Amino acid sequence: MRHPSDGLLRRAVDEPAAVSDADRHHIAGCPRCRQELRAAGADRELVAAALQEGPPAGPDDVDAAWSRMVNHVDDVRDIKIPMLARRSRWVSVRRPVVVVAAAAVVAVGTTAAAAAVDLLPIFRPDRVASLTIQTADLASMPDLSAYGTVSETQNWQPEAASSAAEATVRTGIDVPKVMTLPQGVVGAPRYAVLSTYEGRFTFSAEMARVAAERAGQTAPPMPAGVDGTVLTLNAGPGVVETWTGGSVEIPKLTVVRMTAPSLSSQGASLVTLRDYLLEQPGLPSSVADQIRAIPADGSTLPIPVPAEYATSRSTTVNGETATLVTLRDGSAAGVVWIANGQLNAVFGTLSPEDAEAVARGLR
Amino acid sequence: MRDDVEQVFRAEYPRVVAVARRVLGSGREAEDVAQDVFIAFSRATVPASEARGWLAAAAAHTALNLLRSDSRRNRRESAAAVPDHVPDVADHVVTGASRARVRQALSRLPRTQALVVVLRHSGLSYQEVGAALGMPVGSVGTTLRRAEAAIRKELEDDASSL
Repeated sequence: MRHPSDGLLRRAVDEPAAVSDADRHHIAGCPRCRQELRAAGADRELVAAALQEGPPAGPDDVDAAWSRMVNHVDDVRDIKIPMLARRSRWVSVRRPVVVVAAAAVVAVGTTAAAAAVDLLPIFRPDRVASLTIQTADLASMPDLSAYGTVSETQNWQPEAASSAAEATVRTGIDVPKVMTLPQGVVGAPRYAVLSTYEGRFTFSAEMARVAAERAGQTAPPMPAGVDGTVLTLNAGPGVVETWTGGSVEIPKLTVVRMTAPSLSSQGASLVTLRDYLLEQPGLPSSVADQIRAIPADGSTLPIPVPAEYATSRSTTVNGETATLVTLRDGSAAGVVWIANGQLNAVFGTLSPEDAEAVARGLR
Repeated sequence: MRDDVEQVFRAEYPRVVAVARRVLGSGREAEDVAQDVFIAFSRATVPASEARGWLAAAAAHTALNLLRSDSRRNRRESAAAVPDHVPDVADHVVTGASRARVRQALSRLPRTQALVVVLRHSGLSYQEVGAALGMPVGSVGTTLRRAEAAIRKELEDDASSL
């Protein structure tokens, strides 16, 4: 039998129950492994003794510390905690602020970026465009969430509203009227509202270095001024209508209208950020090329489309440029567009023609 | 501030200070680190159920950063200063210099190794260390073993140079 690894032998010192019976049996009868086990235990004791610290904080210390924090929390603007491991469960690339901030930053070019020194709106899209991504590309994409810290609105998800009128009162947004429901979609919709979302992403040179180190790569040097730059993404409020179609709970049709996302930067120039992000190891050239091809004025919102599962094409909705996305198996389709500063989406278990018809028929 | 912060603070504050103090040795600096970590937590989206690992990792990271900046500062100051006496073996013993040396060793380790050592010796299980740092649990033991061996070697080298 192969010798257990050094790591497993080290774990056997602390957590013997986590070692399999077979490994335990091997260690017991193997002089070499027993010797390594003793060496690991000796090193553990040495380090434990050297890292010993004093008595833990008592209840009085905790009370005093809590008062101190409560009194100062509002005075502190940015705390940089350089952690967030690659593939961290706590900050995912699925987070809107990371996805949209990254997409927007790389889509913005010289026009908007030239004088970005303070809090500057850099991304206020009025149209959409698809960004085709291969699944294999996704796997190799750099996890930008590991390049900084994220703070964002908690639990940003639809909340039920009893009627269209209530949804409008709560959000200030008129609920779109669907003039003609597609075949198979019946009944009254359910309404929900989305509150405003704010997410902040703060670049950290130390975290980028650590992330690259963990990935076995060397990060390109972070240009001056990027460390500490704060991107702020705002979106919403919005309204959501959903038709579930009879007793089936799976939505057949969903219509969303919300204030379009916008992005502001506080810190480095956007040219610097854009070039820096495009240099990151792992960013596939096909994706970088598409990003470079997006108009560089902060006016276009990229809509990522996974190429293996869906196709996309440009269309129009009442004169506005829209992106139509259709699942390759034909089971669902959706249309996304921006009009009058509002992001609109129609999607569901629809044909592409029905999705376009619903979108064009909204009032 | 999110509603669950006080409950998490009261439950985890002693541990967070202890993690930072293991790295820094100084209670006052460790308390400052804990304040920063909890303010960051109050603005983060980490669920309370996962706070323990997140807070410990954040404290270790922040304290290690502080340790490294202190080490750089100390090296600069040492290079500029004229020593008024040469320390002998007894000095090292009575001043508890082995703890200072282990901190110096920590500051020289690759970041992941330093984090694993600090979190494991702060009482996190292998599973918790892996989850907190986003690494496979099977790698925790290997990383820990390398880190402890490197610290031991550094302490031995330092002792033999006395």
